Amino acid sequence: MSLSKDKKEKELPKQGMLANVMQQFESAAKIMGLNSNIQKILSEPNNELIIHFPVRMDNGEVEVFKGYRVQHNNALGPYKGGLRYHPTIDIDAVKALAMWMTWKTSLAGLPYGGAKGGIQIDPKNYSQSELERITRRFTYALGDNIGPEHDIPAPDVNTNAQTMAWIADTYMSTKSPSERSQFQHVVTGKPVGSGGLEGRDRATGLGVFLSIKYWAESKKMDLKDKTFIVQGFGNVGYWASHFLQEVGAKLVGIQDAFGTITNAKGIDVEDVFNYASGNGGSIVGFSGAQELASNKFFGLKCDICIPAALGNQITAENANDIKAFLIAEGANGPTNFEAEKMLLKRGVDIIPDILCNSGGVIGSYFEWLQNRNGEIWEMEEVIGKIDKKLKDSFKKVQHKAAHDHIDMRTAAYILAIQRIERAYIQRGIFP
Amino acid sequence: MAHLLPNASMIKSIVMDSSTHSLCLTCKRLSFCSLTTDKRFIWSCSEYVEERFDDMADQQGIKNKKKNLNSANPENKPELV
Repeated sequence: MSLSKDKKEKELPKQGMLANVMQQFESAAKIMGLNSNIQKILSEPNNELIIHFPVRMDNGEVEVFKGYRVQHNNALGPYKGGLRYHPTIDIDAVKALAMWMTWKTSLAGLPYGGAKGGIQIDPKNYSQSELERITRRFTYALGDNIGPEHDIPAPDVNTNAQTMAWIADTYMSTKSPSERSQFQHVVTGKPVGSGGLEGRDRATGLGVFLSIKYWAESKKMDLKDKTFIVQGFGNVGYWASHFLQEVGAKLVGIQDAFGTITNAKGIDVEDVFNYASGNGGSIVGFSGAQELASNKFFGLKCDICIPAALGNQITAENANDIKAFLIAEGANGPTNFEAEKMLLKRGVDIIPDILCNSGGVIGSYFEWLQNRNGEIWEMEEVIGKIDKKLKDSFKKVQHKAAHDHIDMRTAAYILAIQRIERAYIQRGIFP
Repeated sequence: MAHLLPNASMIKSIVMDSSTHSLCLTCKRLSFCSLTTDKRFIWSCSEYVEERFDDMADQQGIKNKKKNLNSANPENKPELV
């Protein structure tokens, strides 16, 4: 091996996303003794679409864009997963994320498979009207590769309710006028005025809170006066903190992209949220707390730690600093493999991401059902339904972990894969 | 049939070079982000999602930025979900 190649390998980060997802899958498959034929099927996505499509820019020139849609598995129902607009997206990233969606929807007990997609584009470089045309042309190019009973996209990085409204409108426009309204549920995450779900904004954060609540109930623990820290004060971090404060828990530390603040006596969630809203989204400078060095965040004294920002945050370097007895993973993959082993050895419980942050996809499912049945649900109804669905998943994972003497993440993966395995065994392989 | 299953070497061959695939590469908060020192392996980030389209309008060099009159949002500000 040449020196330059050796050096290059050393510079590579821990591992790629696709390898990470494959390793998680293989580890669970080995423990559960997954049927080898079904493992072969699940190791590859069902369909991989790469679409090149032209769009006229505001200046009159035509640009050709590259769009992806990977449909990993639909043994349990229509494909489901987000669409992201990002310049670094590629087929491997989309494959990995699609596979992750298969496990998430299966664990949540939803009648969905897993998919992911996106366009290789930096939205910053395009005007709103260009983004609208790009989105509409991509939707048209996808044609019947998406559909309310076939593949249901949702918002992801750099896409939002507006993007979903454009997709729904374009897709519906390709159908005959008399049947257009039947196709509104071709996407979820739409604006509330266009078939979106009341409470979809808080669904993921609510799910994180509910997971913590079920865990505390199983330990016969009262959340009142329990202290917690949250990394990331975006949609997930804020709503999880909001609901925890409502039951009397105390927020003692927050870290966002701008900095870290702490107050052992408690930080009022609404006050800091209002402060950040008027401060360019930054929590730094909030008068009800002191600033702290960012590397001290995970070492803060608390009972519950909620990483709700990004992946690979809890590592072998900081795992032993953590004082919390519970980690609730609001983000995707915040705890790496080594750190998890260290934490479990110390008796720290971890509610895994595919369970803890599944409130979002459960919310999407209810939006789909609402549109499909021609109904409009109220917020209380939505929250009640998410509670019921998530509780069911949580109890199953907890029971599996206790029964098989395994950690909750492994239990969650096994349950997710087993549900798909069962469907394949019952249906058989055509022909 | 076990030989057909993906093994460590097959996985290695499909490892992405995530140094060129991180969300951080286009995040405006990259230079001062306190969430991570490893900015190479990030495919999901709540703080990144907070980068709103309306922030982008302020940037220089965007060609012919126009208001979207068909926006679902009355203030023409896209909602984030």
